[in-house]
Amino acid sequence: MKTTVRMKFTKKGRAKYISHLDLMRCFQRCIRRAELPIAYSEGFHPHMQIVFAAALSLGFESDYEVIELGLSEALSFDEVQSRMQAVLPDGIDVISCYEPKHKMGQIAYAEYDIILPCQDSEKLLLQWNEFISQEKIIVEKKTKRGFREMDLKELTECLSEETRENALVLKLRLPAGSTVNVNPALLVEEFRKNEQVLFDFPKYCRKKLLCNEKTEFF
Amino acid sequence: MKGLSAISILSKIEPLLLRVQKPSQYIGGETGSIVKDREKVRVSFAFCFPDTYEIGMSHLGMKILYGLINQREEFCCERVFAPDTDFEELMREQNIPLYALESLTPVADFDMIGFTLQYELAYTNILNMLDLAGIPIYAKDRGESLDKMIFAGGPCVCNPEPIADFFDFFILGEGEEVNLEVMDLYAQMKEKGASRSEFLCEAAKIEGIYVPSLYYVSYNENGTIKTVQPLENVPKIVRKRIIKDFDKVYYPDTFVVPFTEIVHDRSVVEVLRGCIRGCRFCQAGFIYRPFREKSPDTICSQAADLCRNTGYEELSLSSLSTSDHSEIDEMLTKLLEVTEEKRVSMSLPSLRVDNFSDALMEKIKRIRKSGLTFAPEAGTQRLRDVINKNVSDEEIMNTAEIAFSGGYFNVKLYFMMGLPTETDDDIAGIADIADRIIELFFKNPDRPRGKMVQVSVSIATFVPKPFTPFEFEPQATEEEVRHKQEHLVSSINPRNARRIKVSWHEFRISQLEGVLARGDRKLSDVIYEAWKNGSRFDSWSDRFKWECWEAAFEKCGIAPEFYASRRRDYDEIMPGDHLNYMVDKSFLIREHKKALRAETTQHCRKNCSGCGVNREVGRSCF
Repeated sequence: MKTTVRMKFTKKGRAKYISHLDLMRCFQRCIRRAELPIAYSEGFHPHMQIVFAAALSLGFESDYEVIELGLSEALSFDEVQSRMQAVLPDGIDVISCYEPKHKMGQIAYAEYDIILPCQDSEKLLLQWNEFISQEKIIVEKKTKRGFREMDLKELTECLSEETRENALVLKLRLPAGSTVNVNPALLVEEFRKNEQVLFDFPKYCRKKLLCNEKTEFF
Repeated sequence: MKGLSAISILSKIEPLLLRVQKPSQYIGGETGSIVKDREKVRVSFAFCFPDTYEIGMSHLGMKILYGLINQREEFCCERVFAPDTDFEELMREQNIPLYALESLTPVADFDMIGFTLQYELAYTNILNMLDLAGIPIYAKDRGESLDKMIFAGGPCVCNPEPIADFFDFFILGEGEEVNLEVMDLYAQMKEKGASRSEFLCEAAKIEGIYVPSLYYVSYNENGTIKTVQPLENVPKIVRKRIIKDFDKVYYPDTFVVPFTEIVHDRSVVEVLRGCIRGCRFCQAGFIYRPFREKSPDTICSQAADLCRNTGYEELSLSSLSTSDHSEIDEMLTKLLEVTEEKRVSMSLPSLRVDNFSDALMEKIKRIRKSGLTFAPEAGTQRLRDVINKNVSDEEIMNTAEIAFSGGYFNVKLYFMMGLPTETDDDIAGIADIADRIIELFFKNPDRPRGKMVQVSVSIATFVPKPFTPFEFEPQATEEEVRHKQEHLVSSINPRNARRIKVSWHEFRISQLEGVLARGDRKLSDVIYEAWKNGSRFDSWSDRFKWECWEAAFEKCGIAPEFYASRRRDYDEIMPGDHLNYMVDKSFLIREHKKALRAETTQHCRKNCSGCGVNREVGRSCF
């Protein structure tokens, strides 16, 4: 009996330096190690039936990565989870396995936590508020067909800002669909263009994937 | 740079990793990697590969010793590779010392630091890695404390003299037993509070351990070696180690599986060690003697373990000549059962031309389709007899024919240039073979339609290596090589020229390899100067800088030609003559004389050629 299982997992610590392409290869090998009854495509070069929901930028952490596994025979969600958990590298942990609810194409938004390490987080917050309350934030985005202008202002939803002793923590919601997709690093680097704005190596973590209606993607 | 903890290394490299190519190679954490609590181990060992991650991680010897040492609870073994130039620049700029991948601990905080010497052109990388680690480059500058013991093993250790000044000791031969012995000794002496020289004197008593500082080398006026004198109570001749029961020797049941792609990204089972062929140019064919093989059952169970534990989709067999396994048919049949069931594809390098059978070809055809690689090595039968590459013209053509009727249309041929006694006719013979292979393709009625036959001819410049019958021979000079290259190009049949692709190695790289392979201790300073001048990654033709070496030779007053293009007398003392690799010098001389007469020597299974290894091991090889 062919079944499809979705698996939600984290990508943290050292694992954040695994590129998307390398992650695909890593999962293929982990699936072999776990001896899951994975389904293969037909044809001369059969490949595993696995699909990742949304690619994550190199260097980002995530609490919300999703992979879909096609299985050639039914296996309980618990069994898939425990077998995969046993073979995955450090930093990649299975959160849950479940039946697919939405189509992959329904993914429209992602939420991120962004940590900006700094000396004076109150000052940085003021600068951020000033930056984000501009009427327009126009950036050039590299596309396959050259450069395209994009207004980040209208695409960015600020969910919260929090000042910590040595950091400013931003929660943002940005488009992450197949038509419009905004990398938060684009916004952060635009913010940093102001010479007065001082912060260290920023840390990103994807917290959620959302559907069009801004409900959680499952 | 010293005293940085693992946590501070992590915080220092994190901001840099996204600025370099393939960052996952610098952060560890791969599945199969073994991270131990360093507080709880008695001896820590940093295993250094003097090239980049993608090359070092492909190396089988490192996988074996890594697994072997980590099996012992009281030892830890961590991996270290040469950072690529982009990351090196950032490391130097930010004062980040070279660190090991498992615990991200600085290399300088390890007890023992071992390098594997796979090719001579990695020597400047060793110096660079020591420098990045903050460790004195010359062994004499390392003081009397026991830590940071720098040593090396691997094939180049059969003549370690050019790098003798940088190392505390060398390990000769196979490492599975002696590495543990020397670590056990280190553990004892560390707990006793011994000094560096006390440890080295004790270590030199272990068979296979060579401590270069305990041997004094004197030279004749003409620059050749006069004597090699042991200074302490150490063996006059150091003998290499071998594993007697190869079928039972430790083999890892899993590998560290990298995230980023590496050169050989697959499971590998070592099927045999040594080689029965005795090709006279081939160092591996002599220094890895005697011939030993694993049983098909052992090979199959090791293959099954690796496939299951690594998750690799591809399996390869490692040896000098897989088709010389006495039970090759049974082995391949059983292996194919394992791999087909597990959806693992199999690749078979090192298959010799002359013993391809139809039946074996059938099995291989099930495995791969894209192309075939043969190594005739020389263009005429006469020259193949000189080098004892016992492949006949007919056999080359037969193999090509089987290949073509099996649906192959790409053939890759490996040759050498500058072999002893080589003439222009031998060079023209290379073009002739390529030409006849193409003609053969068009004669085959079943040839694949719409596909163009392509013969790639890859030409290496012959480098005479120690412990081979050609160790007495001069290496071809630049003028000679240039003439041969021109002659080859002009010998190619213009009708088929577009179907023949010829490539060769850069002369200066081969020449440098030749210098270092047969060099003596006077070269240590040259290597040091070349590194100071900016040399590293010398085996990469796009990074090799001859001018750095040229200036180094000049500064040290040394002519590379003295080492590369000088004929040696039979009674000259070679730099590695105090090292015993189990083949007699008298045998090498005998083989050299036969070579000059174009006489072949039968392979070991047919007829023992009396190389001396059976006497050293104390039993006959077959």
